[in-house]
Amino acid sequence: MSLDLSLFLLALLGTSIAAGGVGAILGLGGGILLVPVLTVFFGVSLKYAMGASIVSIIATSSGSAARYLRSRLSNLRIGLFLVLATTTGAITGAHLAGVVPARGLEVILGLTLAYSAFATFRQIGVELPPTTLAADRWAVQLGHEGTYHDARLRAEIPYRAHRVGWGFLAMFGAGVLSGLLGIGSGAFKVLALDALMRLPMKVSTATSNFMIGITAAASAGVYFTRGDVHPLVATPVAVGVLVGANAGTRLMARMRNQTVRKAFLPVLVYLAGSMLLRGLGIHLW
Amino acid sequence: MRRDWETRAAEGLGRVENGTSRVLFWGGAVSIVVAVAGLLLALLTPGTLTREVRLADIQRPPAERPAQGVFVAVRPILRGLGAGAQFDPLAVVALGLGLLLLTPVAGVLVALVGFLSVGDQLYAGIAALVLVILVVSLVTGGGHP
Repeated sequence: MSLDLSLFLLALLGTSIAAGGVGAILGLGGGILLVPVLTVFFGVSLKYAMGASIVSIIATSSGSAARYLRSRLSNLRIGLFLVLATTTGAITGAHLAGVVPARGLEVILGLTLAYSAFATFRQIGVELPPTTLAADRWAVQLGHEGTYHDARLRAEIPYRAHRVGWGFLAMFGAGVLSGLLGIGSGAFKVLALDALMRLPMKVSTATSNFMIGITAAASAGVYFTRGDVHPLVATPVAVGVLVGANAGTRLMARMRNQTVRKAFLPVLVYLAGSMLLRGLGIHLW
Repeated sequence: MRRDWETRAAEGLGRVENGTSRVLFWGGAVSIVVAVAGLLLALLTPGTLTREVRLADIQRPPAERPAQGVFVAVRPILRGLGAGAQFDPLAVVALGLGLLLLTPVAGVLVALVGFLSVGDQLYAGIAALVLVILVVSLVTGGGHP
């Protein structure tokens, strides 16, 4: 039994490294890949998979948020303001997760994955948003603006947030999903920052990264006290995702975005499909 | 008027960002090291894992109570860190995971102090509000007493 357990821990570590790496390359974060893989392939119960995922999200976000804050790519003000919405949503979601049956959670996770596949398909290349939109009253009042250094364009790019109110609402929704499924819901946060609030893609990604950790901490408290954070599952997963995400980020710099996204799209579609089927009571494994 | 406030705040913002960045980095690093040390200790301590944790538990956890080796509160973790027969390597793992959980909270706290020190009261207020939400979530937990 002890040998079985050691092997299990090693397999968990390896898988988490892979999930962290792929997640970082896709810009999705490890959680959304990890939860389905842990449950589908390892037979880990959904509650421990979600508990481990939420812990790994905090670990990964702490490292990358530290880096992005230092390089001024994250906007601390925008992040902190929107975190009001995501944490409230996350606590709501985490409490719901204890009530919604596992099957329902699997269906919701499947749909979320399907959406992430769509978002991955949609995002091609990094573009700067148009600056012709009228100034948003909230953005001005809250000082939601900044400048970042774009390494590729070799320029200082000024930006300002738009539709802050809608962004706030969308972030509440992203928070609910995060707490409900034990994921970072980074894809949704980026979407709200990028498409709704019209922040530059790099600022959106970096700010979302900062927010993910705080959001996860809000729901992790609920997971922890509910007994969903199993030390033997959470630790190898957190370490693995952390290592994988770092390697993935480094690798990503040398890869072409389009190639990467095309390569991993089938993985996302497959996971979405298998999660949905599980939720509907059809088990492939 | 607004511009004055904005310029001063922008100068201070850099310092706040650096402070928050440092806390997040070191908090994350220390927690992971503690958790991994605990896990290695558990693997090296004969009998710990076989006695207390079964693989089956991970796949089909008991519904009513936390599985063996799962810590849900601060007091049992502290008890498990005690010397002698009470010592449980898994409590060290739980301590690391707990510290990890507190890392973003510490980051927000440092941001709050930073915003206060640079006189950005609006964002000190927002950070304080975030902190209250986080603390309430940690204290009330899953609704268990």
